[in-house]
Amino acid sequence: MSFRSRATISNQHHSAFFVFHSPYLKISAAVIVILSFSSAIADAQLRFTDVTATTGIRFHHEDGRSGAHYFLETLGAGAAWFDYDQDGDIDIYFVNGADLPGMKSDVPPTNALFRNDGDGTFTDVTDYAGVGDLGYGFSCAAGDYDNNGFPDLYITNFGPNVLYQNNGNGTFTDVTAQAGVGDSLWGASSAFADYDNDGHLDLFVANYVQFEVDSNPECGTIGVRTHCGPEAFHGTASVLYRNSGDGTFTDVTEKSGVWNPNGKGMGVIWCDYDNDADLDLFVANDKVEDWLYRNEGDGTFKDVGLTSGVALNEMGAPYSSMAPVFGDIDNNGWFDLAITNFQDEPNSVYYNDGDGFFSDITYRSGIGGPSLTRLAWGADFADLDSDGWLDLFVATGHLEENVQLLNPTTTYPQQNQLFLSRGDRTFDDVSDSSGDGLLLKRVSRGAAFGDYDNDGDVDILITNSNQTPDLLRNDTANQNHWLVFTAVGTKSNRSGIGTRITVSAGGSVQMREVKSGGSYPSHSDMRLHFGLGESAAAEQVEIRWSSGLIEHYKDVRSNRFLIATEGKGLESLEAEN
Amino acid sequence: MYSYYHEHIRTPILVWALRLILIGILGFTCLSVAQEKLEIDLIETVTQAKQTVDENPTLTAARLNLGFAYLELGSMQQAEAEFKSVVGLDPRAPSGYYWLGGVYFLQSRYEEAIDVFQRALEQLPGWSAAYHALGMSHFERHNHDAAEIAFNIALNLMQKPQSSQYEVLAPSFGTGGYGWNIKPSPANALYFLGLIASQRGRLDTAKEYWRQAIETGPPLAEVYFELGVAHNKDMQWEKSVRVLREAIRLRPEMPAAHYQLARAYLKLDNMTEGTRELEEFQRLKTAYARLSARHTMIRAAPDAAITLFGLARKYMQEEKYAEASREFQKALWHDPRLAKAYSGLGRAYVGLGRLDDALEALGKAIELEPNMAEAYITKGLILLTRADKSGARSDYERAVSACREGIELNPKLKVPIVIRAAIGRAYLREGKLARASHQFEEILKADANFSDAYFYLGAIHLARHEYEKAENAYLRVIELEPSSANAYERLAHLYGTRGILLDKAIQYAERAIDLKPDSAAYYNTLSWLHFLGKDYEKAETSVIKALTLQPDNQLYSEGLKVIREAKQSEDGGKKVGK
Repeated sequence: MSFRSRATISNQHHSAFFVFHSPYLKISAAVIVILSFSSAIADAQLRFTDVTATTGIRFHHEDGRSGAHYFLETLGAGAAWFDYDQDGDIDIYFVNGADLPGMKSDVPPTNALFRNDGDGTFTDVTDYAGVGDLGYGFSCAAGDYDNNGFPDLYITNFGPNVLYQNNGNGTFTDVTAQAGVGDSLWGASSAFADYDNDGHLDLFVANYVQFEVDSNPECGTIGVRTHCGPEAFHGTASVLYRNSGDGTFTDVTEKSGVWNPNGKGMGVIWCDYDNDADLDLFVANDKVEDWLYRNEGDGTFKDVGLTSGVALNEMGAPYSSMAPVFGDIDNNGWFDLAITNFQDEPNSVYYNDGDGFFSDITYRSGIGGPSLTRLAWGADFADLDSDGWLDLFVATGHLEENVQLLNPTTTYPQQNQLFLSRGDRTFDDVSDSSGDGLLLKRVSRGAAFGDYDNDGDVDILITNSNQTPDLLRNDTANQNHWLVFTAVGTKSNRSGIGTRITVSAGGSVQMREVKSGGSYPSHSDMRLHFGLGESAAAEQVEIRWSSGLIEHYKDVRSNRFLIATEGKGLESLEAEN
Repeated sequence: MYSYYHEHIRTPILVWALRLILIGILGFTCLSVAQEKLEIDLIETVTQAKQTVDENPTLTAARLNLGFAYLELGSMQQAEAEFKSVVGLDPRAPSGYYWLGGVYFLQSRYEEAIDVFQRALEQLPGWSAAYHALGMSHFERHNHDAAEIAFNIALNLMQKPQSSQYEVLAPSFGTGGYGWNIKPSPANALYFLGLIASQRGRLDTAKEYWRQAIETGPPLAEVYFELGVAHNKDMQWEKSVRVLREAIRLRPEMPAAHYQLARAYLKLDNMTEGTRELEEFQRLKTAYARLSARHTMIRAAPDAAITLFGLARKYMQEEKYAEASREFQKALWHDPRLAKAYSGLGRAYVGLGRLDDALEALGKAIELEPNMAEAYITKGLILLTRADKSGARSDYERAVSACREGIELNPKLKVPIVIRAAIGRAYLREGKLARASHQFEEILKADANFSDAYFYLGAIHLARHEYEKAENAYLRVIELEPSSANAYERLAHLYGTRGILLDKAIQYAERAIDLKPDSAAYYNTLSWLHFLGKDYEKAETSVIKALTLQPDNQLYSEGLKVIREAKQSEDGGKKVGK
């Protein structure tokens, strides 16, 4: 175990930590203006507005379908919120499909990077940045693998994956070959994390199934041609790459104990679920039992999914798991787990008992029942109304265009779902009453969460299969307070991935971890958002770095964007006045 | 000099081995009552039902029966057509709607199922079974409110006496294969009401329903299981263990119950039981998953025959011969020229002890695909069993002939050792020593300690005058099987033939007699050896013993005559000498 020190720093006594940070100046004024107006509106109801049309985002996902029902055309693709230019606002990267046999697009589909212009609009900078990968893509994850201060980008494909190194000048370089991470299996998702706490980001790639375009089986039921399910294909092993610290990675899949050729990995997430200060790994498999790899602290992992109770449903059977998400839903200091699943399967909710076991609270939580009628994909916990309790958003959409022939009560496009926390481990389905953005019926797949307009609440970017994406701006107008932290590692990895921040406010203790990847097959804003409800300040903020350093801050005023630099204190992006 | 006749067929070992094959490989004697219930000739049933419909095209009962038969075969479209005919012929026939609803339900066409179950209820408003089926359809569509209403009505109706008109018109054969046609009972309705409450997150209400279901009876493993899951969710581990064990008692092969029980034990820190239950869960889950995957593919695959064939093979691996025979028949219904399905059906029938049916099915397989080695082998195995029972040489030769056909069609086929041995012996009898030798060498590749193979190789070497090899082979038999009287006798005979080690030969012949005192042939051999050693007294004593055991044996009588002549001649010589 690395060293631990206790650095209790109160902002009142260490105001030197709160300084102007020039790149962020432009947002400060906007934030203050927005806050001054929003605080006057007392409306607790969640409200999401579809603002896509006004943002300048011109992207259309192409699944390359030609009518041959290729298995891979159903999975959609993800997106990332990440501040590639480090200008203080999060930008968007979209992953795209590619033409499949029988389909020839006039312009080949490419991935796309949209720069946030800071005024609610975005500009396509794909060509300039050099990130327009042409592979049949699925997921993306961001992380500063070379610790140069600029987040890099990893894209998984049906075919070789791609690692783009951020040059720090608005451009990227494809370093896949030299880094040794061009795994060519069908990568469904990926996530960076420093599993061995050595200060360098490692990378896990969840591979899906063995599939060949040339041998696409025909499937169908009651005379209706459909896509085959995962049962029709053999599973395949996922990959864990250890960052060697010199720009290259080493495949440590077998050595670390996470090699399993039977996997059908869809989603992956890193989280210290057992509070032992190292990151554990959860892999959601499609119709194969899920894996919870407990980090043994010596470079190896042990799958405890079955014994802990999260590998299978209550019938002892695997679901079609998509996105795993961790969040402390009752603020008791232990991360709970939710997993999105197929239609007619409830989204699973597992409560962390704190003793290595999880209890299935799927239906009791209020999430299981309503989720039975949706085919769920990307999701995450986020405190969408800043009341201090994590809510859950789930992107949904069927994978068969003709699903109504099989089930007249369902549709290919579906309404996404939003579950609002009651603060007692139960949730209300508020999908119908949370603004027009939640009433959209789309073929959704990925979901990425982030405060793109820097107004202190969490917005949602949704990718849709063979459709344009949706950007749902959080227009919830209440007087709840918030804090947003950016973690910058110095001894720990620069992205601060794995950093745990615990905020105590108003008698409640919330915690979050900085993560990469997670929501199927997307990457969310790595800044950590905390809703403080009516509390104007957090009594205490604890920051636990992956290096082992633990820092404490007292009486941190709310409604601010803060930068926590490891060993150097907090900076506020708000001008002190 | 006189010759000797020796019977080389070693019947006891053959019987033992055949029994092993039939019991161990084909599960001949392992039929459960449930499996016997499933012994249905589906295709024959359909044929008869079709014939009845042809003769009485407007008879709704006949069309219902044909629909049931199609349902059994998994021919949903044809079943649907028949039930539609029923309601077409008699729009007031509730059974037609009910079974049409069943077909829709089985295809996950729940909206259509709901519609026709409601029509059934229009005709027979107090029909609890239809309400029950309606509730199940709504439940599958997650229409919890509507499902709850339907189950509650069903429950109320079931608690009142109903006239016979409300009885579900069931097919004349078993209905165990129908996933939807659960016999409506108050316990079942309460079970579903509990599930609805559970999915609404009202666990206490759910538990109450399940407790009522248990009180109402009859005991259902599913109800105990759900109650156990609920206790686990409430962290009432001891209670959970109690009810889950009851679920397992009612249905031991319920993977989910073992899984939940393992969770409860682990939470109770009972690692031993927890691990044991997890292992049992894994074992059952593997078996279940294989079948489940096949069932899923049947729904999805356009080539139903092949998929059904695959499912049948899985059942064969599970030694579930009744289920396997049904699936093979279904496969044949979809593709009557699928020879391998006939072959599989033959093997399933062997497992069920229906040897005549097995031979017929195998015959069809061979007719469709004359080069199907496996079918010949199975046929040969059946005939070997028959030969074993009848003892008739003709049966035995037919069996060996079939086996030989199979093995010659596919020399690489994995063939049971006993069959190879039988074929080897047949070649040996025909004097085809090289072929015989090949069979026994193949046996030894599979099982280097199979003593019979050494025994017959000894005989082959002997026939080829390869005495040293023959001696080694017989010594190996004795090493592997120290009580092998035959091997001792053969060694004794070998030494006698070569005129060497006569004392040892006599010793071995006596050992053979010790081991098998009722063998006339062994006494004859001993007599011959004494004769060779010119000990005519002992030779005479031994051959008389042989004749005592087989008084009509001309060979031994002739031997005795030769001995006595030699004895007299020797006596004469002695007298002359004196």
